[in-house]
Amino acid sequence: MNRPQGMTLMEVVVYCALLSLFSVMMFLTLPTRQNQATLALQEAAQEAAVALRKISQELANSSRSHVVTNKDPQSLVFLSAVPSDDREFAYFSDGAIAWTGWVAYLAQDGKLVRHWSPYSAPLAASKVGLPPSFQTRGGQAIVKSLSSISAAESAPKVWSVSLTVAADGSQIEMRTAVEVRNP
Amino acid sequence: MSFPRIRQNRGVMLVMALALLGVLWFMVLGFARSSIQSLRLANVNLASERALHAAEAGLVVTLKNLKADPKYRPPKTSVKLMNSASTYQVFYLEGSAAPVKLPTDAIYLLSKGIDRSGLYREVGVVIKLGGTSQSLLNFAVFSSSLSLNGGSSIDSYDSKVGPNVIGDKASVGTNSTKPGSIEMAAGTSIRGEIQVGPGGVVGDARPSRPTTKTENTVWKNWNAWSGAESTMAQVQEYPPVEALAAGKVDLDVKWNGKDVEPGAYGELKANGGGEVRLTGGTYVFESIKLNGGAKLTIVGDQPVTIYVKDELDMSNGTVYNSSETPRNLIFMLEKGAEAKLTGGAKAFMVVYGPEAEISMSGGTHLYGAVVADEISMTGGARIHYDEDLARTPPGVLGGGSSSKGLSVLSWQHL
Repeated sequence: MNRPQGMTLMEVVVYCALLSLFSVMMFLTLPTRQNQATLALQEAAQEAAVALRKISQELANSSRSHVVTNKDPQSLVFLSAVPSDDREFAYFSDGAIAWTGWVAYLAQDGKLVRHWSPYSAPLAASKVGLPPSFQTRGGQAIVKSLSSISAAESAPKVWSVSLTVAADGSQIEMRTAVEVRNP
Repeated sequence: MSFPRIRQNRGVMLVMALALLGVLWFMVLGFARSSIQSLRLANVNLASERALHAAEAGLVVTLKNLKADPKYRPPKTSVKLMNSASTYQVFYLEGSAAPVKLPTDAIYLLSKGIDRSGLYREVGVVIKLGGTSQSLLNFAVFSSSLSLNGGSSIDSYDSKVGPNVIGDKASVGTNSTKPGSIEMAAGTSIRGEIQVGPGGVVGDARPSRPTTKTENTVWKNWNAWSGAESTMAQVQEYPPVEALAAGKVDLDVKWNGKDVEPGAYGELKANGGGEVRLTGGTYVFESIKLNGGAKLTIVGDQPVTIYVKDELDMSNGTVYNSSETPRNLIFMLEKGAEAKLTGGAKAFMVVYGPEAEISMSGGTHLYGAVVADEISMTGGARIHYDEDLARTPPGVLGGGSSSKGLSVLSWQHL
């Protein structure tokens, strides 16, 4: 006598359990419209967080009487004594810091671009004058989906810097406060 | 017969399901990895901030101890912060041991802050022991020549308290020792000390007879009074205003006003009640002339520094500093510049021009401080000195932060 074709009870139970598990995992992990937007915003926010950290580091080492902000184009410009992060200041014999150039963070074409304008020779603070006019070409784009950048002296010696990034129709604002100790 | 094939095929669903499960697990692991990386980045940032704060805490402690005792040396072992797992260690470096070429008589303090995760941050500070760099605005008025007429007066207030509480800390100073360098006509007053140059001749706060035409550095007429007169131990140094290049664009502001962005310009003229609105930043003008009730308005509470090369004429206009904080509006007058000030109701500003001439008249009320070569006050002009300027000078006039026995020249996050 032929045995009827089919599955055992255990097979069915295991199959149902795995099917339900697959369904839940696929529901959670398959790329949906909302997940795509979230991912895009997360990436933009991470980029902005790294940029904000770099701005904080550079601004903290600047001179509080040589920080300039503009609204059109949106920019943050300040004096720098180091062309890169890992060098100490140099000094003149009278104790003045040897400032080496200006750093500018400009909002250009939806991006945050960093410009560096060095002096031919280091200068004391009393001789640096006004910042140069930064060209809209060149520079290094460090945030690719920028909505706005703003900075203001929120308290004596303390500057508040905020970046707003946008991705896929959403925006997120990130802010930091920096104490600029050098006069 | 199909029976053996069924037996062989039994359980194939389970294998297929397990294979699909494996594929999906890889997908989940991929997304999870991204999240884990973000979490690690956040943790590294947090540890970095903790280490930075530990390093700064170490410097604050070391500077405090050095102020009290210049022979203090930080311990050679790590110090643990209270209520924290972070530690710091400060290195006292001088001469060739310092990582930088130090200015004369300076030392380098390197503070290393270490988070419990092992991540560390460093802060480097250059200090000068024994020297003091004072605020350039310790005096209400400092000039080579000062004359008060027509009921003019100088007093003080504290911007932290408010402009309505009058104080008597409005010190007036001069490096000059020539007779009559400071002249006070009848009805004028200075609510504070007067300090003259080393070797100058001083008199009484309220002399019984006029000291005009005497050898005194301060000439006081009838009914003029001040605080005590004394001589300074050494002359006060006021660095000249460095010449900056003005721009070529002149601004002519009419009745409808204009917003002016920071930058260098030629002549600024405002007429017909026009309002010139300035925001935070540095401006350079060849000259400024306010006529016909024009107004110079500082918008917001960001500091504004205005360099004037030739002439500052506000005799027919007003200045309005919306923040009501003098340190937020600083006029820097270059050598040879002339300024005619009128304050209107309340002009909150600092005027710094050690080689410039300033005249104030017609009921001017200036809240802040004035440094010039020659100052003339007539017609009831008043200067109300902001005592907070001595404690917290504006950055462009403060020099290094200072305290008794110690001067911090620079502060750098490494």
